[in-house]
Amino acid sequence: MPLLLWAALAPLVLVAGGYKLQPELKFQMFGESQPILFWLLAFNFGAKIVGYVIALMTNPRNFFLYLRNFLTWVIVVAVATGALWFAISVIEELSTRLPAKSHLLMSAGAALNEQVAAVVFALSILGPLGATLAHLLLSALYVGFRHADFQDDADREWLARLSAVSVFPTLLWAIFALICLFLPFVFIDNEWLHKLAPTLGPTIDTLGKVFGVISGFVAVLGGSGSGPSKVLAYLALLAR
Amino acid sequence: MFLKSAIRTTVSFRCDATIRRLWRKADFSPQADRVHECMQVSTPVQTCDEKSPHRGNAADRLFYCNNTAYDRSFMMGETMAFRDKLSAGAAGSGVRNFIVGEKSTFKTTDDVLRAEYDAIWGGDTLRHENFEAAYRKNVQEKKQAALCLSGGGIRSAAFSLGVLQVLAQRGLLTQFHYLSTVSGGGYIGGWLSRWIAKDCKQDAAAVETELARRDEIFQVSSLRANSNFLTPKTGLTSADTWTGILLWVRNVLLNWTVFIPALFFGVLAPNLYLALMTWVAALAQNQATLFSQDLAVVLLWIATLGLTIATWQGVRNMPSHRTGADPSSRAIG
Repeated sequence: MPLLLWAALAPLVLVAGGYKLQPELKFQMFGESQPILFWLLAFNFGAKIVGYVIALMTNPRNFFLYLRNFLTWVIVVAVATGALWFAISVIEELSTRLPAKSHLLMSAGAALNEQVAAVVFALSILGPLGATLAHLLLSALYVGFRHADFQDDADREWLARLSAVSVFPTLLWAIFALICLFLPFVFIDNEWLHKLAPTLGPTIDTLGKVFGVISGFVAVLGGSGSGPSKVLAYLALLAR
Repeated sequence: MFLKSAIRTTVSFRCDATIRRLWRKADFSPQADRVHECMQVSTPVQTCDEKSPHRGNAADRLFYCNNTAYDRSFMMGETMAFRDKLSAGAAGSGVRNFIVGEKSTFKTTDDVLRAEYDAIWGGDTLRHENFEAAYRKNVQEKKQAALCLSGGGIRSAAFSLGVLQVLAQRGLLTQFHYLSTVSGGGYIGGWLSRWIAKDCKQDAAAVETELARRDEIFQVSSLRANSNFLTPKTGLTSADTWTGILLWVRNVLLNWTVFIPALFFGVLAPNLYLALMTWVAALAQNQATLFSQDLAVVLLWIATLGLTIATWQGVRNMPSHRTGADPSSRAIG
């Protein structure tokens, strides 16, 4: 749940911080003034390091094991942070390929320009998935490079399950949100449907006839019905 | 050797609400605990004794609880005479005559098995100190077969009727020694047992012959006529028909009332999230920078808190890290 909270809030943080909307907007924290994307990545890195350190401190029995793997952890967290940045870039790139129509947005569309609206649209669908995939990469790399004397398999199992319970809901979310938000746009008030309509109708009609005749032959030749039903099948075939 | 004189229907099922209702009705509180231990309901064939008040009564079932058999009629509150003595009559009629009574003389599983053995194999009652072992050895040497009819409501009953008819047509029905049914299969199994029991000779072969007839016999047509339990009386003006329709409409509407709002909410969720994002973006664009900055920072801290907790829990509970230095865990691992 905490990871899903992160996954849901990360896109919101970007939007609230004026990502792509006000690139010049910077936030003052820890004596630094940086844009929201920088802070998001920095906090992503810091949270994972702090989480590891807390785990180290709350489990002193394995202090040296944690310490031994700390450098590995820092490296894979850095890679995962890069992956998060990459995911955001991919989402941003995908948003440029969306049909630039302000009515993609359900509400307040008029308040945003089309490019920003498209970024918001893409982030709302893919943002949570991107955040959890970056975390999945972290687990995958760590389980591959960390040192453990025993229970390797148990570690792999644990981290795989941990990743599954976070990635699966966000993947479902991405699919479901895509269907709910994008399909209406594809099928309602769209030009391609109007263009296809004159040819689509006769095509469906022809296909229906072809399949009707085929099914009729199958019924007559391959059916195991009694006499009257075969007669009916013949009649149906003739009617077509 | 065959199932000629008796078919014993054994219905194994959990103690469901029906049984509990029956027990409550009988106010059988001292044995209330036994309800939970009821393992079987058995329908023995009935005697042709015309004086039997239970002849043809569907309530003639035995409940076996704690290895003790109880008659269902008793549980239904009927005051019946204690007539559960095993018949000393013709061989193989032990189960047959065990029909009514408050409580049977079957005290143990061995008693039941012995009576069952007598009924099927006739008079060759095993007398042995270790009866159950002797029984198992004996019955396994004999080639026995059971016809098992599974559940599935009226569909299962209809399917099982077809199975019974085909088995009868091929002369196989009487080759079975046991009939085990559950739920929907119990409808048709009970019907068959009832039919055989009603026959004064209790001749399963005669029933098999009747059942094998190609034309629809009275028993089957009667079954069809009385199995339309949802709308017993059909027709446009029948109250049963309209009751069925209205029941369907009512239940569909009730289901829709529950599920459709849930589905709507599900579809609404992505739209709400998008609306929230759009609203926040509009705030960042139009509202004071300070407010936007504050909102983003607050959200960032909340999100970071979640990520920190997730990381902490994930790393802390890694099996190798959690139990790494514990010698006992190492041994287990």
